[in-house]
Amino acid sequence: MASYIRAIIRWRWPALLLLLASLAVALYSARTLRARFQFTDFYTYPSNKALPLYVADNEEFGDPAGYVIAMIEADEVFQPRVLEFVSRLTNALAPEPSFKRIISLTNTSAIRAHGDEVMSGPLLPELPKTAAELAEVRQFALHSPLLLRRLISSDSKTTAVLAQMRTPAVLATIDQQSAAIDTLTRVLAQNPPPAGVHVRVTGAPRVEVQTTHALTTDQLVLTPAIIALLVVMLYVTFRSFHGVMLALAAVTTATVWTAGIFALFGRPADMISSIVPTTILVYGVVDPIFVLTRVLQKLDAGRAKQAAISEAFSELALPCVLTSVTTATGFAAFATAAVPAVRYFGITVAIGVMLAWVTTYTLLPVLLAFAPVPKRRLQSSRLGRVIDRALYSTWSMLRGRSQLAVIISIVLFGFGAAFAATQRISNHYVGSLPRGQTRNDVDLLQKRLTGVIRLVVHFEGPEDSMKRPEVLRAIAQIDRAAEADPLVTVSLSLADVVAEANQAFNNGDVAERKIPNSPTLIGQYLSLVDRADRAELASDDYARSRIAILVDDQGGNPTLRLARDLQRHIDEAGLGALGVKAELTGNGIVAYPELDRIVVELLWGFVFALLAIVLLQAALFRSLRLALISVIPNLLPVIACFSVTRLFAIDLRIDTCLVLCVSVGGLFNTTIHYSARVLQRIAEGERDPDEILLHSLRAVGPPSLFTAVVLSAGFTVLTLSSFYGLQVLGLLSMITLLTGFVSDMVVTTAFLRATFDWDAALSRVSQPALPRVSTHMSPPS
Amino acid sequence: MKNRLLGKLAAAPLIFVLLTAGAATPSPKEIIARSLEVDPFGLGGASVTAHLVLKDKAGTVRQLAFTGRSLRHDPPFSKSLVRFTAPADLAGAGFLQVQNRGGDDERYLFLPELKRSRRISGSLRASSFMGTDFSFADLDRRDFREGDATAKPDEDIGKFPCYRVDVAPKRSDSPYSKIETWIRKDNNLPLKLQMYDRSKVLVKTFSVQEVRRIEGEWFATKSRMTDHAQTHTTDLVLDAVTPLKGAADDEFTVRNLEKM
Repeated sequence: MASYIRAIIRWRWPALLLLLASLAVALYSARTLRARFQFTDFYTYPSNKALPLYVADNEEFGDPAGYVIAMIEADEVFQPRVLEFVSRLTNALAPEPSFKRIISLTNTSAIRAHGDEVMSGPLLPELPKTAAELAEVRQFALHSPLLLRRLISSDSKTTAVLAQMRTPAVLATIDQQSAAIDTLTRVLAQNPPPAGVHVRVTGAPRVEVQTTHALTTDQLVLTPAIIALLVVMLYVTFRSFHGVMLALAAVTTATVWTAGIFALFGRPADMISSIVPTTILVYGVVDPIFVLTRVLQKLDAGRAKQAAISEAFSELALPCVLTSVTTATGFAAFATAAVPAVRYFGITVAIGVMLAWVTTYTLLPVLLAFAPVPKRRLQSSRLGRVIDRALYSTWSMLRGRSQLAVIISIVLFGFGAAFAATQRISNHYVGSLPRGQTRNDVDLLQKRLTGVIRLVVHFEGPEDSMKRPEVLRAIAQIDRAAEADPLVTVSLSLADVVAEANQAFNNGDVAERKIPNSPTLIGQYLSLVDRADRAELASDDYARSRIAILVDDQGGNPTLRLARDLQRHIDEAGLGALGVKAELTGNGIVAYPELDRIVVELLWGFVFALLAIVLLQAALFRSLRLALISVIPNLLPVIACFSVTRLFAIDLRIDTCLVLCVSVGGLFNTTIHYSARVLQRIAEGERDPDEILLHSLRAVGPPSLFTAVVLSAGFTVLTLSSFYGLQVLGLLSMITLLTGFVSDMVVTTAFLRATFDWDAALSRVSQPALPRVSTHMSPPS
Repeated sequence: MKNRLLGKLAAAPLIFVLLTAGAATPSPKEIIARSLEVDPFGLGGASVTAHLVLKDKAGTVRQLAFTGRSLRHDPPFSKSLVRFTAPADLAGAGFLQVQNRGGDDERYLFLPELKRSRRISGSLRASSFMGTDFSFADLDRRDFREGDATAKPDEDIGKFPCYRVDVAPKRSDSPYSKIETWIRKDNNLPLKLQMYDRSKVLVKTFSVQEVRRIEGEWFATKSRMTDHAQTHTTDLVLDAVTPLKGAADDEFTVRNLEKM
């Protein structure tokens, strides 16, 4: 290593030019990166068994909530001036190429009784002129399951103009969704509402577009914030301009390289990968901090500049590569995840961490060779003395009480694990939206009109089976059960259409809103239904049908509870005996289990990462015991973190659960440096375990504290995110990493003193040797 | 004087050519008016037995069959009574439509299960005709009567020279913003129609595959309506069609509709 460092210092100019060229290439590659939040990214992957039915259902019947919605609020919708506005807006939107179909009260089709006649076709072929006409239409709309909460709120104060995207919203790109929203906004600006009428542009496409927008905005805030924070932290650590710039240059280069590589995967920057820059910047700065600290220690010890650089890099080569490999392994463990979002996140950060190590061992020595020797020494700072004193006090407190400390740690671990194990996993689609106007609009839409989460009961049977009265009754039974659930805002089925037609042909008698007994009559009713309307609920040959259920999004658990209830009603409906297969699908069914699965994969990924790191330590330190010693001290902070989430009822979601990803490397970093230092001290000839531990504690403690502070402060920047989940992640990361430092200093020290096989380790060193580096091991003044 | 006479004589053929050329190139409005005189579907003064073949994008096929009688009571407006014979669940269902010059069309539906007819009010023009790809607007041809016609350069459909006329419907209940027409020059039968929705997107194409002249009148005995948006087609086949002359007006009544 020493000869490599000497060589790179000697060839520093060509090395620097090469690094700059690679930086330019990475920047060029990264230009294609785009932020995107789409539900579909989390569940669209080949091995997802739920996907084929979901795609087939959407392709055949369309997306039941794939509308950009103009939500129109007034004192009373059924007023001529409001309906005239609805009509004007509907007509103005109709020619827009972004939309396939516009549906509103003024153009929706309905079959209804009108005296002795049956009215079919548009609900309002002409705008009602008299109060009686208005009252008649209002009465019908408020009692039609096909219109209520889809187009009119139950208090008739809110109506919707549904603009169906030409490409189904669930299959559309963010650009297509954004263009559709812009179109509606533009048309609305050209057709302003009358006084007293308020319009909001909302709907499911708005959720994804706004979340994507917030992701981009977040990057514009978080990246400069984390860099600014690193500058402050590095300055506090090194008290020198070039100390700041050296570390920053290394880590930003690694981040740009990573961005360039991530762009090659063709993946969008989604909710998970949006924390990649923060993670690389924060983690990437760890090794430079350790190396620079060691260089300063060497300079303090009177070494010449080149010798200090060479010795520092050589001595830290093993722990640095080990911590980088272990951190990267931790992230690489997510490469086994089935969900691409998690897989690519793990791979990217693993690559990024290793690239950070590469820049530490290429760019940093080159820049150190160019930079002047810092005037101020780390150990001479007052802060350094305070830290040293605190570490010495810690050791004094633990000395002779290590076994007690171990027992207390194990007890705490047990209780904490039991408490944290009751953690709940629940994701939230609308909840991912940042607070603000869009979120309020979507909340209001769900409260007054329709939900944005789609659940679908998909039916399949022989040709014409969906026209059979017994099948329609079973569908109606499931439909009614869905409508009775407080979570359901709208539930539409072919049974509704047939029942409404039957009522219309029976003079509007409410008692006749039912499925007639005659299959031929059902066929005759259905032949009257407009094909575009029917096509959303049944196939041409009536072999397939669906119940489209729109749900108020309260999160994954309530939605999946509803799904379980629906499944029970499906089983009870006895469709199997009728030769009809009924299956649940929809984005609520496909996405929520996938999001929960991501959380579970992240949890398992953490377990695999932990195992991988332990095995790696065992191999590199050639001591399984030393590797196992690191387990409990590094699990305690995780348990502390989960105890906090449990205490404050914070659900585990894809964003909050990322705390495990961002912590796994950071937690073990200090332990590995600590263990390496212990072994190094043994190798240097120290025979007294207490002295070895004290020496290692005081040598590793300061940079580890700086690292823990930098890491936790770095992730605390996430509290500036507009996403609640990332804000929580920032706080949880801080708690975990700071607890991790304390745990390392106290629990690792106690475990090392109490459980490490000192005799065997010391006996392996045949001859005592003098310490190579003299650091201040005397009690602090 | 003689020279002037010779000059007039020489100019005469030119004037004749110009006049006849003017007569041979009717205005787009005239082309449409002539086309409306023709009854391609046999629903404007004919007796017809027909079937419809519906095919969706999955290749699923459904068939409907009907018989119909119609009367031109106020040319070009007609009354028609259609009775379905297939599929089984539609058999016996009847449909009476009376087109009115001034007001809305009257429509009555007879559902045998209910044993009585119901007047169907409201505008059905944009709705599909019994679940087929033909809308009521396609069948009533009001958009041609009332829309603005614009001539386009003539084109051939197969071996038949056709007038090209674009029609911009004016009615608010029309589902279309534009209908492109290809009208055969020799018999005024529309051979092809392309319908554009309000977004100016091509939504449907109507094409005639077989024409027959029966008792001096031309009918589109095989035609296809393609719904591009839903990748769906409906073939209309007139199995038997004859012009119906002298049908009684009282044949097209609700009472007659309710006779099984």
